[in-house]
Amino acid sequence: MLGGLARRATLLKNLQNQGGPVLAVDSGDLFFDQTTDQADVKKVLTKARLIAQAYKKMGIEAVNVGDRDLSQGVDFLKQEAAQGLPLISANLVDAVQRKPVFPSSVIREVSGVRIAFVGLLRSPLPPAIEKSLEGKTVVEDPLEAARKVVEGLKGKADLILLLSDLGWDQDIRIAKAVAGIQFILGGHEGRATTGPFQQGETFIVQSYQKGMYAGVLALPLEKTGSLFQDEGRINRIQEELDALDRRSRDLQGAKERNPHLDIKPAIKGIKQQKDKLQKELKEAQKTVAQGSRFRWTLEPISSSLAEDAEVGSLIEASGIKKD
Amino acid sequence: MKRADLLSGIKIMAKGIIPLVILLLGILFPLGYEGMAAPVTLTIIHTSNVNGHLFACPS
Repeated sequence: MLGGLARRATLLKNLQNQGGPVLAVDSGDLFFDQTTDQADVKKVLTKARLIAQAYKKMGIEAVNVGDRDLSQGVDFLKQEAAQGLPLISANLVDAVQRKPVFPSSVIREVSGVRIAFVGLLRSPLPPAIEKSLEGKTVVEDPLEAARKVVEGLKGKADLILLLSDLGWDQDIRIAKAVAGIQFILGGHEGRATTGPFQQGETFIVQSYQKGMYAGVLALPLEKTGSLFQDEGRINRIQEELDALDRRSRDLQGAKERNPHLDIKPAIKGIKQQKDKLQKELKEAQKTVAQGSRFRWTLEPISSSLAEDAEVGSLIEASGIKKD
Repeated sequence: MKRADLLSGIKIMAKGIIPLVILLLGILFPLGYEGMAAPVTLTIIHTSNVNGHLFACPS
């Protein structure tokens, strides 16, 4: 259904109407399917242009280039960048001059805090996508590119958020190896993460796939320089503890119904898990109270959201009815 | 000492103490108003992998 794009615009407007500052970003794999039949090139390019138009209309601040975005070569992306789409990539470079094709990062200042969004895509590319670049554009090692760009942002940005199309494992590798990135807003696989994963001082999240959800990060800006803490961590640990309590009660009930049932090993296992979680809970309560507490949620782009009229008319004008 | 003189003396002392208290609070709590101000919360809305069934809704 085409309405998802217009509903996303509505979600963005709803958040903006709450009065606080809002920045919208995308981690990539935005324009094309993994495989595109050559016969459908005209159709997929029409769809891709529509997405670019809608994103510009919505005022998206930064769009990372994902590997699938290169499946029709780099010219389409260059055209869209020239028309104002804020594409970024720190490791997509010209094959000869080794200069980035798009800016490595964008910096936005909110309440005096400079927030840098950096873009990275995975390497090596799948052969079919590599072929579409015709040897004119190459993807450099993301880890080296990350080190270089973070170093270059010293003194220019207070916070660094990586828009990643690397995938979960590579995101963790980057977080381990490169200090100074506060958040990795990941993609590529489109995982639905129950909560942020913390690696050192970096929090890694993903926002599921196919545009069905949007991740919403509420970030306090009053204590820049202090470490961020995940406000939702305490709730998630408590939920796990509650689930273990329910499991324990179920086992006790089963034992009452069947006295021969040996539930001791299972109960012992639950107790061990609970002890571990209780320790984590205490630790979380201590650390969360000390840092700048952020909140991460996944918002469904559900049919209960009205379709934005402006984006709706763009879709109407494009003539595209279905995927 | 007259009662009026006593009250006048207390008033003069109070005038001196009030600025002193303000000064001390300023030294002890240097953030002052800024520290008490409501924090600005930035909302970052993030999407990825929008392609494929681009416009799908959660079922």
